[in-house]
Amino acid sequence: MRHKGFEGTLEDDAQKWGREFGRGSTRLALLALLDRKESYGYQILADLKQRAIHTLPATEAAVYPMLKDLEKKGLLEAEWKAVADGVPPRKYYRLTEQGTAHLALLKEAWTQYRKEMERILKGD
Amino acid sequence: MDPKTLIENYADDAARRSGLPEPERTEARHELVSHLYEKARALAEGEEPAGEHAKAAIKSLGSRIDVHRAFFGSYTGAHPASSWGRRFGAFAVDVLVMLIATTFIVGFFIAPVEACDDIDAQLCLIMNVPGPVSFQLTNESPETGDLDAFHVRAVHNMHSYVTSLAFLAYFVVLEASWGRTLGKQAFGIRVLSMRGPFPSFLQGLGRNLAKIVFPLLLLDWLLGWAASGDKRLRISDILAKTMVARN
Repeated sequence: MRHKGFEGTLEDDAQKWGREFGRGSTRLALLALLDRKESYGYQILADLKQRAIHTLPATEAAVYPMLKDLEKKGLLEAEWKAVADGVPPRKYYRLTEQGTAHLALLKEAWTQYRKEMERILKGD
Repeated sequence: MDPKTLIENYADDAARRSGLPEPERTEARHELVSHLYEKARALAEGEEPAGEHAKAAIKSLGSRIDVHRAFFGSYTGAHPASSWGRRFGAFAVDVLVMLIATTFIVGFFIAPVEACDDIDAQLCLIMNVPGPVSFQLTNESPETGDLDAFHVRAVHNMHSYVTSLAFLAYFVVLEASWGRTLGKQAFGIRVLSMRGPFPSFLQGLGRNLAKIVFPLLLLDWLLGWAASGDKRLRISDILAKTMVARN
């Protein structure tokens, strides 16, 4: 049911806000995935889809530009690697030292955010 | 149509429309090809992907705008292409290796000294380089016959053709089997192909033909620069769908 002041239904609006939360967390998710091991675009997308299909925007349009942006900022470095005969090379991404430090800060910020939001939601 | 050709044609079209400068455009195109191929493989569920899987992978990306936004929209400037400094250094090492091999092995044991028969000099060396002529190094003056300083003159020598083939074989065989030559290994660069880990023999032949006649190499570079706007790309690499990247 459409609600005054909202575009679409209340559910649509809630979903839109859910996606906004997801967008903000994508950087943390990408860095955390790459902290475990280096990976390439397609595999990173597949991992995101497998772990967070309902919350994170696991699409090419969301992930690839972010990977490039993180590389530009020096948080990731990339290397093309040959794969196998007949298979195009893959561009592998991995965290730089700066990226590792940045991930640690993001994790702290996320933990703090979650604690405080939970406190608010519980009415503490 | 072969799935790789479908994917490459699609990526070429997307890259052309992107308006990105080189080398960002080539880098983004390579990543799109890689992504589509992995997607097609996943759709083929462990089998070799067919044309239908490539088409489905392409369709799954959405509209051209979605593809542009994902792969060409925000480029960082990082690129796989090696600098000309490294490439030139690698080429210099390769030329030196082959000069030694062809001058001393071919020159002494196979093709030696008929060009020195009429020289009454203490030094006569034939330097076989790629191309239709060799260079005779001697301390006999060609004008006066006096034995004085060093003189270099071009001589037509059938074995310079052998040298040209040896040079070409060195580049083609090593790049097809190892992805690099001795010079490239020394400078930490290698040749990548968009069709697999190493260039094929045909790709190697296409990208290295210009090396056996040095003036063609200059033309190769100028045409690549004119075609792509990037002076790091030779036209032969663009046409062979190869690139020289850092290890």
